Amino acid sequence: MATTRRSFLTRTIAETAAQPIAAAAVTAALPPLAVIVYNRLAYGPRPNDIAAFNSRPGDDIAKLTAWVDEQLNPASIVDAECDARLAAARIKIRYDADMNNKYPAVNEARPLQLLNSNAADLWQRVSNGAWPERMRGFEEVRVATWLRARHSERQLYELLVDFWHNHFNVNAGAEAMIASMLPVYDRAVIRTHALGNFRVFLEEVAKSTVMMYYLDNYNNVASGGEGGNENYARELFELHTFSTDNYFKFYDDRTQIPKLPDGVTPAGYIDGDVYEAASCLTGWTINKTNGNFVFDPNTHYNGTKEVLGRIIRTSDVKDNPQREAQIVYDMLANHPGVARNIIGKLCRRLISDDISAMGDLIDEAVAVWIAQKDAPDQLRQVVRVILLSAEFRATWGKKVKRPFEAVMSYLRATNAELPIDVASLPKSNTNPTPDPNKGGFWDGLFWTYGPTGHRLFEWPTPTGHPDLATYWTSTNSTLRRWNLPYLLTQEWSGNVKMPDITDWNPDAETRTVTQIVDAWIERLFGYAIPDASRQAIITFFAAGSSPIERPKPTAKAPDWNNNDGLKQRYISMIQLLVATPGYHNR
Amino acid sequence: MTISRRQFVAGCSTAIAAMAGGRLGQMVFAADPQAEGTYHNYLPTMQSPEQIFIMVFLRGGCDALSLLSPYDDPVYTQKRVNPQSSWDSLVLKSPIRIDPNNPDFNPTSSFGLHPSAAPLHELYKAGKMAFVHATGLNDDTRSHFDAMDYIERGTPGNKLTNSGWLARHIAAIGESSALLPTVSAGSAVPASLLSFNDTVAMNDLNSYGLNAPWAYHNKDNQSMLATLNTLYGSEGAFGEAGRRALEVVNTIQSLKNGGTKLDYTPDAGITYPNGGLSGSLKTLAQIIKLNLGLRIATVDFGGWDTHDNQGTNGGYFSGQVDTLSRALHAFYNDLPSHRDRLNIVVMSEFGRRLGMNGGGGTDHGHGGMMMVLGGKVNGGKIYGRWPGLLDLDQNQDLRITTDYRAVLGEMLAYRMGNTKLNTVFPGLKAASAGELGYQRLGIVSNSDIAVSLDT
Repeated sequence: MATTRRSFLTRTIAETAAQPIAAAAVTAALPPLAVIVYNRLAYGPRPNDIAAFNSRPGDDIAKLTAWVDEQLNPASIVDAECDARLAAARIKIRYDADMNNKYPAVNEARPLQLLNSNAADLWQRVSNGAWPERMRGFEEVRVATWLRARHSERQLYELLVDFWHNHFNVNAGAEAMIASMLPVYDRAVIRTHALGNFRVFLEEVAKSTVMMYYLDNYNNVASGGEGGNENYARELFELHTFSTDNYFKFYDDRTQIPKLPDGVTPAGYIDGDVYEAASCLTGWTINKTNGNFVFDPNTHYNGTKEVLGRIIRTSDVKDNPQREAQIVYDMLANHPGVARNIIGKLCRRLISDDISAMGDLIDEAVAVWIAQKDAPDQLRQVVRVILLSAEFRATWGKKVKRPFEAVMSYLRATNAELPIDVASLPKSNTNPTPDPNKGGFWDGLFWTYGPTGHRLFEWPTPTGHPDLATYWTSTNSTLRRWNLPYLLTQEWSGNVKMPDITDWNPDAETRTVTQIVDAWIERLFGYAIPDASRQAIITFFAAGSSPIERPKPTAKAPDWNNNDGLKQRYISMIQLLVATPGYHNR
Repeated sequence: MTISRRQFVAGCSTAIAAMAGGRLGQMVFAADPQAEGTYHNYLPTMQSPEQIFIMVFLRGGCDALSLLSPYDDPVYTQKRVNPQSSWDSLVLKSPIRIDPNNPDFNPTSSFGLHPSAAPLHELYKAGKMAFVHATGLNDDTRSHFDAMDYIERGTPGNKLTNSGWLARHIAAIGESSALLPTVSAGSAVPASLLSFNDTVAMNDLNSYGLNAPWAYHNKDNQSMLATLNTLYGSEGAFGEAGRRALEVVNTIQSLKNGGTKLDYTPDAGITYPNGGLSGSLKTLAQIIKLNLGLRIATVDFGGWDTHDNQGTNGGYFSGQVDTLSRALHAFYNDLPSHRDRLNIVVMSEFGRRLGMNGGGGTDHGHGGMMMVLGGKVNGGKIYGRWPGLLDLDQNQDLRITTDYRAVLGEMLAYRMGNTKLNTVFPGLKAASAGELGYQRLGIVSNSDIAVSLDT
């Protein structure tokens, strides 16, 4: 039984402390493996996904292995539908002319043009042009991410790209440099290395324009006694690699720091390592003329550093002081504490909030990480071990959908059409004059969706979005989940089209109330939901008539014998199914 | 007395009462379906005597040495400039000099507020705002996220504690039956309220409602809400949050049905600055004025992690202080008939490094400051004991001489009716020579009452 409010209030602290960290959903019976796969390794099943998975040859393990191996080679998967959607996408951009005539007024529904731009081209946008032009890179990445989650066949890849965007989080809302340059980060860093080699990945993130500005290392310059700017170096240890599970704070005598079983390597890091790594990273900055990484020896602190027990002298790397930080990256990427931390995060993302129940899986994956430390597809191999584990197959309901996952699974299950912006719309039904204030459907969608708190590329702190149910089960999050299926279809808040729902013709319907509800349960869930919930929704949809007959309008309020009222009831019934607590399990 | 959920339900229509009633136990429904008006009439007549505690958390590590500055201390003036750097000096210019009014504070220099904190200075002079300096978390961590976890879970050194300090406080005193006793003004709930699932996270009252097709979700047909009420009768990760959300949704829907306008207008002459902090405070002011029973609220104000080009004098940091100061000033003055109930504590996870870094900013430090604002605060005084800048923590940061739990503990014992400090803060002991812990500072109290501490 889950903890109720009353029982919580009578508990002692010791008892509450003994609960698992993640108070995720109560343990439910395992649904079919295809349901688990499409809810945890994809953004939810589309109507034919479950059947396609089940039609693969062999037993469940064979089906899963084939599916995972296919998905872990995303380039081999034809993605024509998604490509077509990206090509057809339009995001409205509108601004007034510059007062000094530097640029003219613009109002257009513009295609995605920046996703393949290089850094130098995007850099020109950082400080030139109207503000919406500076934000455009971020806007395009965000819309592309929604379209890919909705339409791409490379679902596992999209999920892992999201994982790494959060692991190496930047906030595009923080400054124009980050918003403008985000397409390069998304494409050339995150997407390029999401299944690649962690050591390479780590350094590419460090050199990226967006991380340089987000965590300030562009401004980490040697100057007198106080050192440069520690912001990036701190989060390099705390968030990108070790986590504070491996943080030993201050040691005057470094020989006393706990060691790995080899007796030599420090088991984790101390503040001194952060300061000294920051010192190694002085001079790693951005070329202000083209936005690309550059090492500036003039702002590098030349001297002796000690990081993780290793002495690094500038004199030892005289020809290449940039090498100092690369030595730090070598040590970090190969440290088992780092591997354990990141593998734990992957298991939390892909299996369960409670990673203390992973058996030997984490040890096995750490062994692969270390053995494959130089492999170009090290991360692909690590993820494969996690996904083909018994723990993956045997776990359900130990995670909840975050708001993006909840919305996306609904959009996918219903074959929803995400919006395509237009430059303007008629002022009203009776006034065809174009209204330039209208037509920005994506803007309305994000305005409505934003208060869920799950704002892609806009999480303010370098932690990335939380990945625990305890964070996402607040009253606010719950209410927004209920409302989004309705709101996103409104013209002012998304204009998402749902022909599979709105084209329903009651006169052509041959099924009973119960059969219709059950068909939607099958489509949205793929497994039986608690009978009390099913009955409540059947009762709602019957609206006083017999559930074993065809649905019909009520004679008086609210339908007044009119199919329009019945269709509103049909839409409401589906909204209620998506609002059931179980729909938000993963 | 404040309006309880039960009283409210008795005052509204049967249909809505039935929906809100899922978790309210036995109650008497008003039979009259026209009764929304009844509720509307009796709502504003009751005044709650209960104290309101509001935690404003400055996320990112506020540079206390720029906000309440030892501006003429020679160590400070030497460490806050960097002659080899082109960045602006971080030595505070044009400070508003204030008297600590406290011999125990033992200042080794003058102290001044940031010039953008003039609205706070006004509250200080009026005796409604107190400062605590050289305070913070008794742990060496320089990590934002660990420091916040330790502070908000109330267990320094242990971030795995599965409840927050405010959640344990509520567990100890019992939950209020009012409509909105516990609110996180934002889209999520901070760790201080972890495990208290009745917390309502909301950005604003007006938009807090169900959006659904009109025919099955309107004043005369609430069948969608009724079905949701059934769906959230069972267990599950979203069960409690869903039930609580439904109570609030039903309430707000009823207020609107009764004709109450829920877009908020502050009192005449009150101007909040732009931004999210003001949005949160306005939501709380509205809840307080509507007498919905607020006891505990949390507010976040981020953006204090000033590693880079901090801008103490006229730059970024000045803007942050300006927003904070004007928002707190507006909020306090927006609630003239509730001031004696207000207990607002402002804190951050740590202070910043004494020395300016090479990028014109400051890195993560240790000791910081707290502020306490309210009608019953013994304000106009700097509490704590100034450790000076010659003897630094880890040879780099302001030392901590007052445990943050001493400040919060005093609020608990003297303003929130909870003397079980060792339940809220497990392991909290009395401060003793050389060891931080609880001590009565006198910020909101003039006499001793016994509190439970660990020994």
